[in-house]
Amino acid sequence: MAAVLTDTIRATRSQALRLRRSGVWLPTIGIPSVAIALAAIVLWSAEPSAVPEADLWAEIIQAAFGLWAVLLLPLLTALVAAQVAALEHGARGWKHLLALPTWKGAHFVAAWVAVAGLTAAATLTLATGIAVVGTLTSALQPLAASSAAPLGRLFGAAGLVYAGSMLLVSGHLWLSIRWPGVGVGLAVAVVGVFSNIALLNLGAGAVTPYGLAPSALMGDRIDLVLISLIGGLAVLIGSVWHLSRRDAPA
Amino acid sequence: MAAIFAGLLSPNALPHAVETTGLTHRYGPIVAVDDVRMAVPKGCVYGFLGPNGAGKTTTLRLLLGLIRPRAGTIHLLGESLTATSRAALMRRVGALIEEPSVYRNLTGVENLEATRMLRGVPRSAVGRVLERVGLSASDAGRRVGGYSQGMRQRLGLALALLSEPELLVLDEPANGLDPDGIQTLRDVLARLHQEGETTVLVSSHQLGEVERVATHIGVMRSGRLVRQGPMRDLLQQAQGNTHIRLNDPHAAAAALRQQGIAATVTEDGVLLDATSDAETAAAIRVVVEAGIDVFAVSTEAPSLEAFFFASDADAEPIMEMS
Repeated sequence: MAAVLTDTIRATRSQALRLRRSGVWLPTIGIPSVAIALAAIVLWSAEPSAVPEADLWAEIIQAAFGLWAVLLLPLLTALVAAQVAALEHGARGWKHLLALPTWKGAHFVAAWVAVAGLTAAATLTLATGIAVVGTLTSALQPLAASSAAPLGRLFGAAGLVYAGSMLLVSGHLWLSIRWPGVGVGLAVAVVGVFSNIALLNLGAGAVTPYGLAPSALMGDRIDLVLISLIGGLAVLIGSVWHLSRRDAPA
Repeated sequence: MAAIFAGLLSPNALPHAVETTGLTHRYGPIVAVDDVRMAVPKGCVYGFLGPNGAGKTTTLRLLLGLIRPRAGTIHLLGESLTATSRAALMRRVGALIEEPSVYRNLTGVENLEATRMLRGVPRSAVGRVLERVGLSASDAGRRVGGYSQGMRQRLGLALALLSEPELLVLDEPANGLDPDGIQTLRDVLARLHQEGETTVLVSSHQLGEVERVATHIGVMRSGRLVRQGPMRDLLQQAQGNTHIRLNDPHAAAAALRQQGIAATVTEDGVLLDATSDAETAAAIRVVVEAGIDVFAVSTEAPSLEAFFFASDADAEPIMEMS
């Protein structure tokens, strides 16, 4: 057990080094920027006389994190998982990694840590970006929210959505390692997102993994977060078992 | 006394760095590796030869635990290779399989660092292997995306040498190397062999290079290991071409052909393909009886190339592991 832990720590440190100067940082910064821009637009166009400040912040958080949970987060997860896996697919790295004296599963766990970490970084970027944009806007545009950003609510929403995405993180990483390239993962994400939107419109709630984060956000549903966390762990364990047993890609 | 017997019976007492029995692997209905019994003595440089698709790379991937055999056993450095022993065994093995696995977004040093972290070897190993493969500090500090194929190959070799392996497995290491790179590779392999600490198993298409560095060879054809043994012994069995210098090459060739002996006319004689001593004597007799003056008879030293092309896929495997 100690060897497995040591191998996993080593693999994670090595994985972090391999992310250096890779393209994986682009979606991590770029995609949250879309939601931050939406928050800025909501703030600038707000009529302070029509809505009390607390409701304005609630509106911003709901709009930005709603867009994030329903559309942007699944796409980000699919893209980041594909890019982390592509580091090895592109460098023909699997045969090198899997011939090293480490527990084979350590490399897959390290890749999961990378995808989960980048998703966390993107979600934190979003929460921080909304707080900064809100503060700047209130300074420049007195008619917008003049109260301080409700950091507790902002980061609470971020944490809820992030935890609700763990099943997606595990699932998309498995897809991306199993099928090289961004195509399969992105196609699954697009189908998942739009079928989830249709299901939400029908009032079906969180039927697919893509519905867990939005439904958790909209209804403050901790049970859905738990389903995502437990499901994500189960898929991670299953995929590590599967990927460690199969022949190393050429 | 008991300790001596225990030592003799221990798997570590086996003289082979690699030993396989009945090793078999299939890709669907295609048998890529067929009942291979490989024996690579410790401390040797084993040239692993075969045409494309012969099963060399699949065999090497099996030895590294990258794919699981459908049948057969593998012993590396005296230990059986299993799912549970693999990680411990791979601490003693370095490998470069097909193209080197290098990350284009990282520098040469960072590539080595990424593997060094995983292997848990000291930082000083990075400088040592860079020096050994002849990569300068300035080149090692550049991003690998700008490397030539030869520089990538050197970096791949450095990655394989990081842990000072007891067994080094190299698949086509000379691919893409310029003459300087080939010389460096040759020097590295020669030094490893001289030091005697490392067994090298190297597959290559470059027969001339293998002939220069290998002490033992194995030939794969159609998934089967058809020849194996010390190079000197195997080449002695192979027969070189015999050249007979004489005064009328065309008449001599005609006389030989009449007797069913194949001969090629040269500027000053005839060339007989890979003949035994008895066949050479018979050919000289035919020429002399035809009234042609014989000036000299010489036999070319058998080459690895001639041996390789004479190794028939349908032949019964010959194993000479002394």
